[in-house]
Amino acid sequence: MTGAAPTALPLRRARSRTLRRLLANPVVALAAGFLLLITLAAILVPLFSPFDPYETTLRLRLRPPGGDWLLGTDTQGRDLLTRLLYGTRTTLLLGLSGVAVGAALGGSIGILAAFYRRLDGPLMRLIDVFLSFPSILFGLSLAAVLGPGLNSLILAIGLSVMPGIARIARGAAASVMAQEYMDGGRVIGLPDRILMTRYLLANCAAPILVYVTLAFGDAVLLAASLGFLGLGLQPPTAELGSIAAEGRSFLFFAPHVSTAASALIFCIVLSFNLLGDAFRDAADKRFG
Amino acid sequence: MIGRLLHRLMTSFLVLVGVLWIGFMMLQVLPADPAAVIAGPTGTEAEIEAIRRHLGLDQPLAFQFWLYLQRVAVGDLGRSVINNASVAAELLRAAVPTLELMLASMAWAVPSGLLLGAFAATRRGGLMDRAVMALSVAGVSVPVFWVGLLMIQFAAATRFFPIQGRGGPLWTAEGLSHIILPATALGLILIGPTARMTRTALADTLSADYVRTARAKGASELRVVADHAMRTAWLPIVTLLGLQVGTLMGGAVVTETIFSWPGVGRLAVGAIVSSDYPLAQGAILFLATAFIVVNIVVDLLYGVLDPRVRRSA
Amino acid sequence: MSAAATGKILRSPRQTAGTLPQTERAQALLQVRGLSVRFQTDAGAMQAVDGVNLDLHPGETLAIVGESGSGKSVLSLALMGLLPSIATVTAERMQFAGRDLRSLAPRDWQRLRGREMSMIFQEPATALNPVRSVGAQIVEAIRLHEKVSRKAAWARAVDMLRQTGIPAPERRAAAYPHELSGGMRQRAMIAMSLVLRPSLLIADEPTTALDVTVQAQILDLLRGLARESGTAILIITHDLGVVAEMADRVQVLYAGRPVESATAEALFNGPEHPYTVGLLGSMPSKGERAEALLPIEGSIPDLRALPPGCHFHPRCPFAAARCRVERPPVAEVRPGHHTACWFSPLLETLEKST
Repeated sequence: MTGAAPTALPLRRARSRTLRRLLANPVVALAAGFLLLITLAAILVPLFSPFDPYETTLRLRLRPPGGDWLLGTDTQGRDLLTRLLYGTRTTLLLGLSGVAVGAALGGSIGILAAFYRRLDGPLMRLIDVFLSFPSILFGLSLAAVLGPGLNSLILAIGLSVMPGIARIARGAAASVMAQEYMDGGRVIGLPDRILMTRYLLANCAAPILVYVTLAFGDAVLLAASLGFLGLGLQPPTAELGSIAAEGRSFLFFAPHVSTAASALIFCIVLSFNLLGDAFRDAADKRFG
Repeated sequence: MIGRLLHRLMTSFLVLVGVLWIGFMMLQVLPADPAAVIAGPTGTEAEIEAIRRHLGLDQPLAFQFWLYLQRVAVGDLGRSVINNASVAAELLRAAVPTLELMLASMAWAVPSGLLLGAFAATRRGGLMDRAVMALSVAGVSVPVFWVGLLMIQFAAATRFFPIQGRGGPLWTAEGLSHIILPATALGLILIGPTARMTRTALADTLSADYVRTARAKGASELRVVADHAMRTAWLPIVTLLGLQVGTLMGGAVVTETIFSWPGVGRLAVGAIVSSDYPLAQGAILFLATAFIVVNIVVDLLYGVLDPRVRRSA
Repeated sequence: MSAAATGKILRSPRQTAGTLPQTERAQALLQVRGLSVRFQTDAGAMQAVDGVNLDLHPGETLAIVGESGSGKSVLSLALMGLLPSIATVTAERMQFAGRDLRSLAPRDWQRLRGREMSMIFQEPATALNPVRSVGAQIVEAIRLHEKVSRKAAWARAVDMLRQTGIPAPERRAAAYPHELSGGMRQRAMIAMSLVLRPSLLIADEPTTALDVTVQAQILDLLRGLARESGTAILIITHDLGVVAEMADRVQVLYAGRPVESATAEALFNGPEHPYTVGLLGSMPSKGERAEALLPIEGSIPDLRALPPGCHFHPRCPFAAARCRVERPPVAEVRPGHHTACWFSPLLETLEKST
């Protein structure tokens, strides 16, 4: 990527061209459109939904889809669509915070490993171990130690996406380390702290961000799975995985609850993964 | 080879210590004072103190960890808070079903994935290739529990297969019929990644020079793919399959829960939800150790498969 | 049946083929007329080889010479039927040992390759399968075509390795390619391709990847073994030193087009095409080796955007107006000496113009 852009303008133009080419792919456009729509709906749901996501009305439980409730009602008589959109909100936020934690951890590890060669070996060995470790085991362990809930959930997601990000960050940072302006910064006597943040981090943020979008799908899937197992946020908080779990007991006479929640998770994760793959392909083509 | 293996063993050992530390910490968050529990409601302050000393609870944390390691080394993982059963015994009972489930899903999913991947690699850009790739993206995106739930719905409607629990050992008809649904569900999430990995690895080797040499010798296309290309493609495939054991394990935890399969995963989830810390600690320790062992085995296998590694001892 | 009979004759020790006049020689082993290869790529169609004619007689050595990108490797793969499906091969005639290669079924190709025509490649390090011993790879070559026991095949493989001059062949046969030196690997490759005594061996830059000191040994070996088994060699190279050492006849390619073909002697003594003249001019005098073979200004044109007229005109010191618009046909300047240049015969034309 270095040397490909003599000035900022052609780079921006190349970027928008890449973006346009990406969106010309119908699959990518569909995935992006769906994510945009579902995110907007999840944000704006209090404005347009006439239903309360928490007030339970037991005599209205498990109504089938159609009629007053577009997707029917859930096990507590709440409008399922409203619950699902609130759940999407939670799930996306969980994914976002988890990935943010992972990016912070992984980014720091990667940059430290590239900056201090001494640390490179040990840190990367640690990352290798984490990389293959079953992410659900992070969830189980943290839920066991910290108790099921928000903190253990976010930390589990963070730990599961951290190793991938650390690798990418290390790779990107290592190539920045070879640039002359790093030596330049050192020559004028800048402290390591400044070199690492203003020089290294600032210059390898782009590849890290690309990878972060790749990790989103996995993060959401992990959040939903842990929620389904009852190791996520506890009721009555609406969360897609736990909504799917709630409907499980009534699978045979009211399959709509579990099915709608699961299908929604699938669509969200699939969209993220499709987008991520397309991003990666585009990045591979552009960066060689 | 030996150096590489030693290196791996060192790393694995460190991870194991880390996992044990986590297990130890799980026991630290025990809500009640174990000494008080043992002394019973009539125990005096002095008695509790004596038991505490006896258990080493008055020692610094590091020393307690050392005691914990000694206990784990002899297979003493403590007792369940809920039913006072030995954790080690519970785990041993649950290990067989989990192993069964994993092997049964791999038994059908890995060959299918290999075959699909090989088809895709030899017809790159074709319809089959695109179908396999689509399947594999869908496979990594679908929540395991949804696959399980759909199967339960299907099975309940057709009444073909039992949907809950284990019916006995695999070699009995009852056992076999019970494992079909969970093994199908768990295997489905494995097919996509396997096919994808096979495709990538095989596509790389198919364009290799020595594959052209094999054709120049007069080898048939089937022989070229199955023998020459696949033999080298095995190396990355085996490594990546080793990594997939993580995915498989995660899937098993969910699958066992859905199908009430009496394995370690379900045990772990149940123990965490019911705050049975000793059992949770034991189950997580067990799963993590199993994962580490499998990865060491995969590394060994890699050495056996690749003469370049095998001979550089 | 005639194929089998021919096969036998072909495998008899080589007669003094190079020196015999054309008419007295046996029927051509390989005869190609108007061979063209076209690639259909995302970036458009590409004519990699265009109108190549070849005549190769039993036991003879023909060199195909050109810079990288001149289509010589594509040509060799076309003769072996090993081009990927994006390539289209067309020819007026493509005859090998009495068979028409244009209409060969995959099964027949398999029977032909390895047994009657075999190939060695430029890079023995990648052309040998890294995860099988070299012995096993030679055994495979044998057993693909002959029903012999594994043990007998192994003995033959060891014997063949011995013939290539590999020391301790029993031990080397069990070695994996990464355990051998580059020269050793190429010897193993030669053993593998000659073990069935094929009538044609295609050698694609067989010495380019090797150390200079090893190159001459490998060429000697190739020549010796081929003479013993009566194998004809089609050697593909950019190195005129190799040509001088090996070839009876030479075919010079430029941008996938034949520009000159003659006996090696005639070509070295009186080159007719300006491109060949340039190539020769770059060849250092005897004893030294050519390091870079590009004294000619510029480089080979993009095969997707060839210049009109004679494709060589942008780099040709003699280029005239006619060369820029009209493509010169291949013509016979002297018996057995063909060239595609408006100025041929070059010497006389040049003398006339001055």
